[in-house]
Amino acid sequence: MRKITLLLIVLLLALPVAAQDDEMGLPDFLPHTECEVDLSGQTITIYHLGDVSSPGYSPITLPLLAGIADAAAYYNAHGGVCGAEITQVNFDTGGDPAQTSVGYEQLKENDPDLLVLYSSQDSELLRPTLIEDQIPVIISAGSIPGLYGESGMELDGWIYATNPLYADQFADFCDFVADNPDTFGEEPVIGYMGWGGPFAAFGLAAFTDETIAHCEMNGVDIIDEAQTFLPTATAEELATLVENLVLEDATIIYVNALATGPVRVAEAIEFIGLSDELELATVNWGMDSSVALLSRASLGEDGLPLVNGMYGSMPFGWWTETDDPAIQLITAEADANERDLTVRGISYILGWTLVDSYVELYTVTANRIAEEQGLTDGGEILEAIDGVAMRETIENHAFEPMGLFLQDFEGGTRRSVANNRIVQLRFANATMDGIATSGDDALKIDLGDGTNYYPPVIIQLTEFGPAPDMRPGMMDEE
Amino acid sequence: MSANIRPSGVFDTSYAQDISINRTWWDKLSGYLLFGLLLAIPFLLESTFLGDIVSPSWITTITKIAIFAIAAQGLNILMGYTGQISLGQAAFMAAGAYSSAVFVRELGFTFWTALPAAALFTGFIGLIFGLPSLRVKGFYLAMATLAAQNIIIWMIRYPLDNFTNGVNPLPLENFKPVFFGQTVNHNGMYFIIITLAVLLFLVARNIARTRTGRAFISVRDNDLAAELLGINVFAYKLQAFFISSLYAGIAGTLLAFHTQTILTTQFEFLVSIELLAMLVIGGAGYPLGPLFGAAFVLILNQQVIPNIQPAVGDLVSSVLTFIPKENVVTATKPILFGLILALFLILEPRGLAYRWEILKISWKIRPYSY
Amino acid sequence: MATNVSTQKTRFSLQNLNWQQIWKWTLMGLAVIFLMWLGARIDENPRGFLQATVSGVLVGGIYSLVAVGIVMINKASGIFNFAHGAMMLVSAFIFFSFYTTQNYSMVAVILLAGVTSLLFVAMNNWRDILIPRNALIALLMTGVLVVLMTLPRDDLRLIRALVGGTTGAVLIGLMIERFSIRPLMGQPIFTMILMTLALDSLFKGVSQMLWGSIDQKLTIFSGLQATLNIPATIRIDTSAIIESRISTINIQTDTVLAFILSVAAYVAFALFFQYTNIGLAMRATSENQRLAQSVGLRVRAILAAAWAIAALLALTAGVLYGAGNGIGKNMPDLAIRAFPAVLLGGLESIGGAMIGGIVIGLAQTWADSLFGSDAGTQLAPYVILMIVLIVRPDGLFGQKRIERI
Repeated sequence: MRKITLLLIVLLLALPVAAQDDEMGLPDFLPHTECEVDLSGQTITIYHLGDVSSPGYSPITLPLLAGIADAAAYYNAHGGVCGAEITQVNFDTGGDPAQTSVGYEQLKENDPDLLVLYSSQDSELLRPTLIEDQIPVIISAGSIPGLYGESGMELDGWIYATNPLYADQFADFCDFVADNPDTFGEEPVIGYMGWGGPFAAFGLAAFTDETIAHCEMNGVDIIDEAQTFLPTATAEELATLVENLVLEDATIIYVNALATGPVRVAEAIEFIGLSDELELATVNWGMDSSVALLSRASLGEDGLPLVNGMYGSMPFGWWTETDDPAIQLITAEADANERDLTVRGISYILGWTLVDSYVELYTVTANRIAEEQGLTDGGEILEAIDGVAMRETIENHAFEPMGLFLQDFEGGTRRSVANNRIVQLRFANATMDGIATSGDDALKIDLGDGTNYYPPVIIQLTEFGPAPDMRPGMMDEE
Repeated sequence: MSANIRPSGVFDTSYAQDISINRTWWDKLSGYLLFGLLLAIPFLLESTFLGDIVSPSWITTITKIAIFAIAAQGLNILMGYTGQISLGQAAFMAAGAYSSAVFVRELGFTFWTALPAAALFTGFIGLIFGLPSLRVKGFYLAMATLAAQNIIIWMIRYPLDNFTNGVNPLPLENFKPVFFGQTVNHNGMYFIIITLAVLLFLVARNIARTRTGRAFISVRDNDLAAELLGINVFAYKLQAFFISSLYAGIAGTLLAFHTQTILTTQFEFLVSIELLAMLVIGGAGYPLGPLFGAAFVLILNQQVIPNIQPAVGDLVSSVLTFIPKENVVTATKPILFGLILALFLILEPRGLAYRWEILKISWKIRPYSY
Repeated sequence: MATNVSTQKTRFSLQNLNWQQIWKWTLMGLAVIFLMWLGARIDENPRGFLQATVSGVLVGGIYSLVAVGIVMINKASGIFNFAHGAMMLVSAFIFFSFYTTQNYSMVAVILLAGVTSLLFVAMNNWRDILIPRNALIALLMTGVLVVLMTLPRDDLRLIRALVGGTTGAVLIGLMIERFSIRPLMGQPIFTMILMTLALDSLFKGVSQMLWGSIDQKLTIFSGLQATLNIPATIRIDTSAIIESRISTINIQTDTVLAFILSVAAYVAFALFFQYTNIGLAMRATSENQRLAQSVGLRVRAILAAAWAIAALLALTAGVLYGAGNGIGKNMPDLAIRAFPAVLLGGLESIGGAMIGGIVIGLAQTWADSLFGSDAGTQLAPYVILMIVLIVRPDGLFGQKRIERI
């Protein structure tokens, strides 16, 4: 073994939670393919390569890792993957591209069958190498160069996006705007803002020629100059950029940024005094509880956080959709593990769905490999599973991780085809038809430092459905 | 001074011997052997038991060490020999990387022609930002390079994005170098990079022995005296800037063709600081200093820190319970980096290369070491 | 050798050209073109230009305060402090902690006060602590500080935070001087610069470890606003004069208060430096350390005091900036952008730092509104920096004896 130099972050999560012996199986709302093999005594490792330490990305990657940890513990207590234990190995790149390649090589030594990436930049860097090494990768929402190369038209690749690409999400929002002239007016104009500087690969990922053409075809104008800002930009600095967009007659500001981004833009809009005139919209990462948490210090005149009423994509289930048993389970586990408010983001949920995908993908692959090669020993079966076998499962086996979204890679485009919806973020007393009346609601949580946290509610505005395909070259076929 | 110390009984018998870099046949042989060993590492890792002990990711790390050692050697010529501070070496690497990429992508250059062209181009950019040295020195010049760091990266990101893909990655995977009809893949770049690094180190070592090199040192030690001796201080400073940027340009080009994808984030201000740290830790003014420094910093960054983060996190958060483990993990790198750099500055300001010289001398004069 | 001299003349004819004049005229030409273009742009959007000007001056106030901290250290000890931003960050976070919570550990508070007092009395030499009078002072100081820092009532939290923040800042300043600068005395300039860069990294890491990576908003002005009954944003209606979709010029009250206080802090510092004995001693030390020592000034103590004062300036800047914009990772970047302000004003000039800061603030907001795309923060200050270096390296108000060849 090469473990001597590999003092990797191995979080052994196999803490045997005292589960009753007769309740080993998973609850009914988490259906999985039946195990035809016994993998007891084996381990299946989730390899994650990403930036968990830079201030830009850590607000989403730390909850992701926490989610994976809690989910792995839960699944291990409920039988694991056909008896195999799920563990987690993480390599921190710190957002440094030089670290990405080294981390990738260190992870590669373990012969991973599947990798998890979380940053568009890493996927763009590793795209050619992954093809060479034949290792499939799961990424949440990727960028076009990350999946399809520089031209955006290369179908060959090993990176699979489980959620709609940023460009697709933006186009879906445009469609929503075009369909709702009552809310957005007859002549909606979207001003695009995104993270710049080192984070621009993500920040500008949705601002492509195709999305602009798509939106304008549907009667939604896009201001042809995107405004970029650093994650550290202050509301006052952003006000200048928002003004630039307003002078071009923007009626909607679309923000492609994580965590602080939408909050600062909302503050900037309030600062200019256009809160009533401008609508705010964002990518799925902006629809995060961390955004709500950050915005608790900046309340509008109605006593509610400024991001109240923000639109965005939400391609999977959310914290407040408590009718869903999976969400109930995740909430209960987060409580049981005493997870802090800052960790209860959407990527915590994604961590859970990721582990669920691993369980399903490995079960299906192990079943098939065992049958094809006539293997019975758990170790041999896992040994026989490689990137190619795993890729075959990913491509052909559609299912719903925890029932929260559909993971379906049919059609060979490596993007999960059919799941996006537009939602709205509302705070306290939110109803479908109006903004809340006041901030002093039962939902308010006093955080003890003089500020309050208002847990937001998400309101679904469109049904789950396919987002437009915004790959270059697709327009002609429409 | 150190190179003159030899075991007793070994004398120079000719002028050629006196000025040669390798004083004894053993020096020469060990040099060749080391070079051969470096080139053999990938084969050793692949075919022998070594591969089980040492992870192949070390090949990438060694390649990166070679690349950054070249850039740091450029900095060494500027700072170690000529005494001018640069806070923008990473941006000059970016200029090299992007110009070579544009040469091969847009103008049809090959790797072998793009490398010198990009190096010269970067040297030219270096001259532009070196121009203030006509009037100012010391800290003011450091400020000019700080400006270079920001302006160059900004230019690549925004106004030149038609050529550079702006903030998006610029792929080079379809433009791999061709060596005697053979396409050199990712692993093959190792040999090109190591060979070039050795060559450039030899060149740097020789520069220090020429008239130019002596002029550099005189500018560093006392520029007024240098001027009185008839040395054109401004011209030599510009030369140092030019050579330094040349090295950075080569390093940038090699990095671009090694990773095959270039991003502006590879050349942030932090990288410039890391290059400075490499020089200090390795030993400024020593020909081998940049190598030691690059090896130290990169091994720390790439092989040590990512692997000890969780352990440090557990340790600190179990002792100081009010600190969340995640915070410790994210803070490990900046704290360690700052601490190590500070300790080197206080305890070993002449760097690892100085220790190495002492070690060499005491070996040569054994058993009568002091 | 004679041939050498003659070849040199022809080879390096670069120097025979009057570069200074060439640069000056080229830049002037460019400036005229730029101004014409700027005029046209301002005409397109006069309100935006006004808004950018107002915001720029207000941001400039903070830049001035940061710049003066950097000038201070440079004047006293000839070091260019790249860690100033990180010092702002950590000391503002200490202030923040004392302001927002009451349940901090007594051990930490006593340690903070004790170590600071100890370093304070032993500023010149460790042995000073053995003098009974000094030991007594240290003990008393510790006691008073601990009492002030643990004041129980909630409405006294500003006092608690002020005392705690000041203590923390002084501790940071004294520790930097004691453990990282003093051992390096006599080393070349780039060693010092690297040391401050190392400290910068270290402090960033410490703040990351203790306070996490999420920005924190400091709400010190909210009480003041409530009592004075001023709105959070002041809006000046311009619709009568200028036709535009946005009819007001907006000013954040926090920022205005921060600006006023930073100008006050700046003036207080300038007066202190000009008219007190310590200020005089500091100026003497910066002029000539050896001479100052020979006339009986305790140079080491004075240098330590200079760092403590710089740390206090960093605390002030950090808290005031944090009140308007939140405490977070942008502070170190902000301090780097203050270096062009320092150079523009002149390295030794305290008055120049003020002007420099405001110019950089204006450049930033103007560039943002004219170009977008990070131009304000990543380009404009550095273009100004290059222009200063080429045209007038000693800055607007700097002494003319700067290091020239």
